Amino acid sequence: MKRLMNLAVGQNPGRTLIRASILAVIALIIFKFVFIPMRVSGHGMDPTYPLGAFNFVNTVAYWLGEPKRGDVVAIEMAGRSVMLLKRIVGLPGETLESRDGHIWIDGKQLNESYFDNPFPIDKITLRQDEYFVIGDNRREAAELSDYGKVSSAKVIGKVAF
Amino acid sequence: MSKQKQIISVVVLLVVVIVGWRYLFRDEVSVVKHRLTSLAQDLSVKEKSPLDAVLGGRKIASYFSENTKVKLTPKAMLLGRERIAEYATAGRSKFDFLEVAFHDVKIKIDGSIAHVTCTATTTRKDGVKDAMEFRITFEKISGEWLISEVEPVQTIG
Repeated sequence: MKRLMNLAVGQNPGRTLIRASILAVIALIIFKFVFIPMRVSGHGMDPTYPLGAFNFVNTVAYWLGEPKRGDVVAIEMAGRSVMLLKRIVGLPGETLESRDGHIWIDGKQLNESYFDNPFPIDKITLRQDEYFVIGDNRREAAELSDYGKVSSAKVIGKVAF
Repeated sequence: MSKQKQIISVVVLLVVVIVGWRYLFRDEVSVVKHRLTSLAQDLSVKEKSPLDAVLGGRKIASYFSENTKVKLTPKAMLLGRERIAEYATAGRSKFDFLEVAFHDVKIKIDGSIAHVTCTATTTRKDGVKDAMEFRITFEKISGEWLISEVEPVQTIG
Protein backbone atom coordinates (compact mmCIF):
# COMPACT_ATOMS: atom_id res chain seq x y z
CA MET A 1 0.00 0.00 0.00
CA LYS A 2 2.78 2.36 0.97
CA ARG A 3 4.59 1.53 -2.27
CA LEU A 4 1.42 2.30 -4.23
CA MET A 5 1.07 5.66 -2.46
CA ASN A 6 4.72 6.40 -3.22
CA LEU A 7 4.10 5.66 -6.88
CA ALA A 8 1.06 7.92 -6.96
CA VAL A 9 2.33 10.96 -5.07
CA GLY A 10 6.07 10.30 -4.77
CA GLN A 11 8.10 10.52 -1.59
CA ASN A 12 7.39 14.22 -1.33
CA PRO A 13 3.68 14.89 -2.05
CA GLY A 14 4.15 18.66 -1.89
CA ARG A 15 6.79 18.60 -4.59
CA THR A 16 4.66 16.22 -6.70
CA LEU A 17 1.73 18.63 -6.42
CA ILE A 18 3.90 21.54 -7.58
CA ARG A 19 5.23 19.48 -10.53
CA ALA A 20 1.71 18.38 -11.49
CA SER A 21 0.48 21.99 -11.31
CA ILE A 22 3.34 23.25 -13.50
CA LEU A 23 2.65 20.47 -15.99
CA ALA A 24 -1.07 21.33 -16.02
CA VAL A 25 -0.33 25.03 -16.65
CA ILE A 26 2.12 24.19 -19.47
CA ALA A 27 -0.43 21.81 -21.06
CA LEU A 28 -3.12 24.48 -20.75
CA ILE A 29 -0.93 27.11 -22.45
CA ILE A 30 0.12 24.69 -25.22
CA PHE A 31 -3.40 23.50 -26.02
CA LYS A 32 -4.94 26.97 -25.71
CA PHE A 33 -2.42 28.96 -27.74
CA VAL A 34 0.05 26.72 -29.60
CA PHE A 35 -1.56 23.42 -30.62
CA ILE A 36 -5.24 24.27 -30.59
CA PRO A 37 -7.36 21.10 -30.69
CA MET A 38 -10.10 21.07 -33.32
CA ARG A 39 -12.81 18.78 -34.62
CA VAL A 40 -14.03 18.98 -38.22
CA SER A 41 -17.78 19.72 -38.32
CA GLY A 42 -18.48 20.08 -42.03
CA HIS A 43 -17.86 18.47 -45.41
CA GLY A 44 -15.89 21.32 -46.99
CA MET A 45 -12.54 19.50 -46.67
CA ASP A 46 -13.77 16.00 -47.62
CA PRO A 47 -12.12 13.59 -48.19
CA THR A 48 -8.86 14.90 -46.67
CA TYR A 49 -10.43 15.92 -43.37
CA PRO A 50 -13.87 14.26 -43.06
CA LEU A 51 -16.66 15.17 -40.67
CA GLY A 52 -15.67 14.35 -37.09
CA ALA A 53 -11.92 14.19 -37.74
CA PHE A 54 -9.80 15.38 -34.84
CA ASN A 55 -6.67 17.42 -35.32
CA PHE A 56 -4.62 20.35 -34.02
CA VAL A 57 -3.92 23.80 -35.38
CA ASN A 58 -0.24 24.64 -35.14
CA THR A 59 -0.20 28.38 -34.50
CA VAL A 60 3.60 28.67 -34.53
CA ALA A 61 3.95 27.05 -37.97
CA TYR A 62 4.32 30.40 -39.69
CA TRP A 63 6.54 32.17 -37.19
CA LEU A 64 9.63 31.43 -39.26
CA GLY A 65 8.12 31.15 -42.72
CA GLU A 66 5.14 32.12 -44.81
CA PRO A 67 2.23 29.81 -45.69
CA LYS A 68 2.88 27.75 -48.82
CA ARG A 69 0.60 26.64 -51.63
CA GLY A 70 -1.13 23.39 -50.69
CA ASP A 71 -1.01 24.06 -46.92
CA VAL A 72 -4.26 23.40 -45.09
CA VAL A 73 -4.78 26.33 -42.76
CA ALA A 74 -7.18 27.40 -40.04
CA ILE A 75 -8.90 30.73 -40.59
CA GLU A 76 -10.34 32.54 -37.62
CA MET A 77 -13.79 34.09 -37.70
CA ALA A 78 -14.94 36.42 -34.88
CA GLY A 79 -12.55 34.50 -32.62
CA ARG A 80 -10.91 31.11 -32.37
CA SER A 81 -13.79 29.02 -31.03
CA VAL A 82 -14.99 28.43 -34.58
CA MET A 83 -12.48 28.31 -37.43
CA LEU A 84 -12.66 27.57 -41.13
CA LEU A 85 -10.39 24.91 -42.59
CA LYS A 86 -9.19 25.60 -46.14
CA ARG A 87 -6.34 24.82 -48.51
CA ILE A 88 -4.15 27.64 -49.81
CA VAL A 89 -4.24 27.89 -53.59
CA GLY A 90 -3.02 31.41 -54.33
CA LEU A 91 -0.20 33.32 -52.68
CA PRO A 92 0.11 37.10 -52.21
CA GLY A 93 0.54 39.03 -55.45
CA GLU A 94 -0.42 36.11 -57.70
CA THR A 95 -3.06 36.22 -60.42
CA LEU A 96 -5.29 33.16 -60.62
CA GLU A 97 -8.33 31.86 -62.45
CA SER A 98 -10.01 28.54 -63.17
CA ARG A 99 -10.61 27.22 -66.69
CA ASP A 100 -10.69 23.84 -68.45
CA GLY A 101 -11.11 22.12 -65.05
CA HIS A 102 -7.84 23.46 -63.68
CA ILE A 103 -6.49 26.37 -61.72
CA TRP A 104 -4.09 28.66 -63.53
CA ILE A 105 -1.66 30.81 -61.58
CA ASP A 106 0.21 33.60 -63.31
CA GLY A 107 -0.62 31.82 -66.59
CA LYS A 108 0.70 28.40 -65.48
CA GLN A 109 -1.53 25.38 -64.85
CA LEU A 110 -1.46 23.82 -61.37
CA ASN A 111 -1.15 20.05 -61.46
CA GLU A 112 -1.69 18.98 -57.83
CA SER A 113 -4.59 16.51 -57.64
CA TYR A 114 -6.38 18.38 -54.83
CA PHE A 115 -6.79 21.39 -57.10
CA ASP A 116 -8.53 19.45 -59.90
CA ASN A 117 -12.05 20.47 -60.98
CA PRO A 118 -12.03 23.74 -59.07
CA PHE A 119 -15.06 25.92 -58.54
CA PRO A 120 -15.44 28.79 -61.01
CA ILE A 121 -12.87 31.49 -60.27
CA ASP A 122 -12.86 34.68 -62.29
CA LYS A 123 -9.41 36.11 -62.96
CA ILE A 124 -8.24 37.72 -59.76
CA THR A 125 -4.99 39.31 -58.56
CA LEU A 126 -4.28 39.00 -54.87
CA ARG A 127 -2.96 41.85 -52.75
CA GLN A 128 0.28 41.43 -50.81
CA ASP A 129 -1.69 40.58 -47.63
CA GLU A 130 -4.09 38.10 -49.22
CA TYR A 131 -4.25 34.37 -49.90
CA PHE A 132 -6.74 32.50 -52.04
CA VAL A 133 -8.24 29.51 -50.24
CA ILE A 134 -10.56 26.70 -51.23
CA GLY A 135 -11.94 23.48 -49.71
CA ASP A 136 -10.98 20.03 -51.06
CA ASN A 137 -14.58 18.89 -51.52
CA ARG A 138 -15.61 19.57 -55.12
CA ARG A 139 -18.85 17.57 -54.82
CA GLU A 140 -20.39 20.44 -52.87
CA ALA A 141 -22.22 23.05 -54.90
CA ALA A 142 -19.90 25.99 -55.51
CA GLU A 143 -22.48 28.43 -54.08
CA LEU A 144 -22.55 26.49 -50.82
CA SER A 145 -18.81 26.48 -50.45
CA ASP A 146 -16.71 29.25 -48.93
CA TYR A 147 -13.77 29.96 -51.19
CA GLY A 148 -11.94 33.08 -52.20
CA LYS A 149 -9.62 35.72 -50.83
CA VAL A 150 -8.71 35.83 -47.18
CA SER A 151 -6.62 38.35 -45.29
CA SER A 152 -3.29 36.97 -44.02
CA ALA A 153 -4.20 38.29 -40.55
CA LYS A 154 -7.04 35.77 -40.43
CA VAL A 155 -4.76 32.78 -41.10
CA ILE A 156 -3.89 31.61 -37.61
CA GLY A 157 -1.98 28.42 -38.29
CA LYS A 158 -1.47 25.22 -40.15
CA VAL A 159 -3.30 21.96 -39.54
CA ALA A 160 -0.80 19.75 -37.75
CA PHE A 161 -1.35 16.33 -39.35
CA MET B 1 -23.05 31.57 18.33
CA SER B 2 -19.51 30.32 17.86
CA LYS B 3 -16.99 32.44 15.98
CA GLN B 4 -16.88 29.86 13.18
CA LYS B 5 -20.67 30.07 12.66
CA GLN B 6 -20.49 33.86 12.65
CA ILE B 7 -17.85 33.83 9.90
CA ILE B 8 -19.88 31.35 7.82
CA SER B 9 -23.03 33.49 8.22
CA VAL B 10 -21.20 36.64 7.12
CA VAL B 11 -19.72 34.84 4.07
CA VAL B 12 -23.14 33.42 3.06
CA LEU B 13 -24.74 36.86 3.50
CA LEU B 14 -22.02 38.46 1.38
CA VAL B 15 -22.47 35.89 -1.40
CA VAL B 16 -26.27 36.42 -1.39
CA VAL B 17 -25.83 40.21 -1.53
CA ILE B 18 -23.28 40.02 -4.38
CA VAL B 19 -25.35 37.54 -6.43
CA GLY B 20 -28.54 39.56 -5.80
CA TRP B 21 -26.81 42.82 -6.67
CA ARG B 22 -25.40 41.37 -9.90
CA TYR B 23 -28.82 39.96 -10.80
CA LEU B 24 -30.72 43.16 -10.11
CA PHE B 25 -28.13 45.59 -11.46
CA ARG B 26 -26.60 43.66 -14.33
CA ASP B 27 -24.19 45.60 -16.47
CA GLU B 28 -25.33 46.31 -20.00
CA VAL B 29 -22.76 43.97 -21.57
CA SER B 30 -24.19 41.03 -19.60
CA VAL B 31 -27.74 42.03 -20.55
CA VAL B 32 -26.90 42.12 -24.28
CA LYS B 33 -25.00 38.83 -23.99
CA HIS B 34 -28.00 37.29 -22.24
CA ARG B 35 -30.29 38.55 -25.04
CA LEU B 36 -28.09 36.80 -27.60
CA THR B 37 -28.10 33.56 -25.61
CA SER B 38 -31.91 33.66 -25.38
CA LEU B 39 -32.16 34.44 -29.10
CA ALA B 40 -29.98 31.42 -29.90
CA GLN B 41 -32.25 29.23 -27.75
CA ASP B 42 -35.36 30.56 -29.47
CA LEU B 43 -33.83 30.16 -32.93
CA SER B 44 -33.04 26.52 -32.20
CA VAL B 45 -35.59 23.90 -33.22
CA LYS B 46 -36.04 20.75 -31.17
CA GLU B 47 -38.90 19.16 -33.14
CA LYS B 48 -40.96 19.97 -36.22
CA SER B 49 -44.29 21.55 -35.31
CA PRO B 50 -46.25 24.11 -37.37
CA LEU B 51 -47.63 25.75 -34.21
CA ASP B 52 -44.19 25.99 -32.65
CA ALA B 53 -42.91 27.46 -35.91
CA VAL B 54 -45.49 30.29 -35.79
CA LEU B 55 -45.05 30.94 -32.06
CA GLY B 56 -41.28 30.68 -32.39
CA GLY B 57 -41.32 33.08 -35.34
CA ARG B 58 -43.26 35.66 -33.28
CA LYS B 59 -40.91 35.23 -30.34
CA ILE B 60 -37.84 35.65 -32.53
CA ALA B 61 -39.30 38.82 -34.03
CA SER B 62 -39.66 40.28 -30.52
CA TYR B 63 -35.85 40.51 -30.29
CA PHE B 64 -35.80 42.97 -33.20
CA SER B 65 -36.70 46.64 -33.41
CA GLU B 66 -39.68 47.80 -35.49
CA ASN B 67 -37.48 49.05 -38.35
CA THR B 68 -34.77 46.43 -38.14
CA LYS B 69 -32.49 45.74 -41.10
CA VAL B 70 -31.20 42.19 -41.44
CA LYS B 71 -28.78 41.50 -44.23
CA LEU B 72 -28.70 37.77 -44.94
CA THR B 73 -26.30 37.86 -47.89
CA PRO B 74 -24.73 40.81 -49.74
CA LYS B 75 -27.87 40.88 -51.95
CA ALA B 76 -30.72 39.74 -49.67
CA MET B 77 -32.11 41.88 -46.88
CA LEU B 78 -35.11 41.69 -44.54
CA LEU B 79 -36.67 44.98 -43.50
CA GLY B 80 -38.90 45.33 -40.46
CA ARG B 81 -40.01 43.12 -37.60
CA GLU B 82 -42.97 41.67 -39.53
CA ARG B 83 -40.69 40.30 -42.28
CA ILE B 84 -38.49 38.75 -39.59
CA ALA B 85 -41.51 36.97 -38.09
CA GLU B 86 -42.57 35.63 -41.51
CA TYR B 87 -39.05 34.56 -42.41
CA ALA B 88 -38.41 32.93 -39.03
CA THR B 89 -41.73 31.05 -39.16
CA ALA B 90 -41.03 29.78 -42.66
CA GLY B 91 -37.44 28.90 -41.76
CA ARG B 92 -38.35 27.03 -38.56
CA SER B 93 -41.04 24.97 -40.29
CA LYS B 94 -38.37 23.49 -42.60
CA PHE B 95 -36.35 21.90 -39.81
CA ASP B 96 -37.11 19.20 -37.30
CA PHE B 97 -33.84 19.89 -35.52
CA LEU B 98 -31.50 22.85 -35.58
CA GLU B 99 -29.17 24.09 -32.91
CA VAL B 100 -28.11 27.73 -33.05
CA ALA B 101 -25.26 29.18 -31.00
CA PHE B 102 -23.25 32.39 -30.86
CA HIS B 103 -19.51 32.13 -30.21
CA ASP B 104 -16.69 34.59 -29.55
CA VAL B 105 -19.17 37.33 -28.70
CA LYS B 106 -17.53 40.74 -28.32
CA ILE B 107 -19.72 43.62 -27.16
CA LYS B 108 -18.96 47.34 -27.17
CA ILE B 109 -21.50 49.64 -25.56
CA ASP B 110 -21.74 53.16 -26.90
CA GLY B 111 -24.54 54.94 -25.03
CA SER B 112 -27.81 53.38 -26.10
CA ILE B 113 -26.15 51.40 -28.90
CA ALA B 114 -24.35 48.08 -28.51
CA HIS B 115 -22.00 46.89 -31.24
CA VAL B 116 -21.60 43.12 -31.28
CA THR B 117 -19.33 40.86 -33.31
CA CYS B 118 -19.73 37.11 -33.13
CA THR B 119 -19.68 33.85 -35.01
CA ALA B 120 -23.07 32.18 -35.36
CA THR B 121 -23.23 28.43 -35.88
CA THR B 122 -26.11 26.20 -36.86
CA THR B 123 -25.83 22.47 -36.24
CA ARG B 124 -28.08 20.09 -38.14
CA LYS B 125 -29.31 16.70 -36.98
CA ASP B 126 -26.44 14.93 -38.76
CA GLY B 127 -23.91 17.01 -36.81
CA VAL B 128 -22.90 19.16 -39.76
CA LYS B 129 -22.20 22.69 -38.66
CA ASP B 130 -22.37 25.91 -40.67
CA ALA B 131 -20.73 29.06 -39.43
CA MET B 132 -20.94 32.72 -40.30
CA GLU B 133 -19.43 35.83 -38.78
CA PHE B 134 -21.86 38.66 -37.96
CA ARG B 135 -21.89 42.29 -36.93
CA ILE B 136 -25.02 43.00 -34.91
CA THR B 137 -26.22 46.36 -33.64
CA PHE B 138 -28.52 46.50 -30.64
CA GLU B 139 -30.42 49.63 -29.68
CA LYS B 140 -31.88 50.32 -26.26
CA ILE B 141 -35.49 51.22 -26.91
CA SER B 142 -37.85 51.83 -23.95
CA GLY B 143 -35.39 50.07 -21.65
CA GLU B 144 -35.06 46.99 -23.83
CA TRP B 145 -32.11 46.00 -26.00
CA LEU B 146 -33.46 45.29 -29.50
CA ILE B 147 -31.59 44.30 -32.64
CA SER B 148 -31.64 47.16 -35.13
CA GLU B 149 -29.18 45.83 -37.68
CA VAL B 150 -27.55 42.55 -38.63
CA GLU B 151 -24.82 42.29 -41.21
CA PRO B 152 -22.81 39.22 -42.23
CA VAL B 153 -19.04 39.57 -42.35
CA GLN B 154 -17.36 37.85 -45.26
CA THR B 155 -14.42 36.00 -43.72
CA ILE B 156 -13.60 34.57 -47.14
CA GLY B 157 -14.77 36.39 -50.21
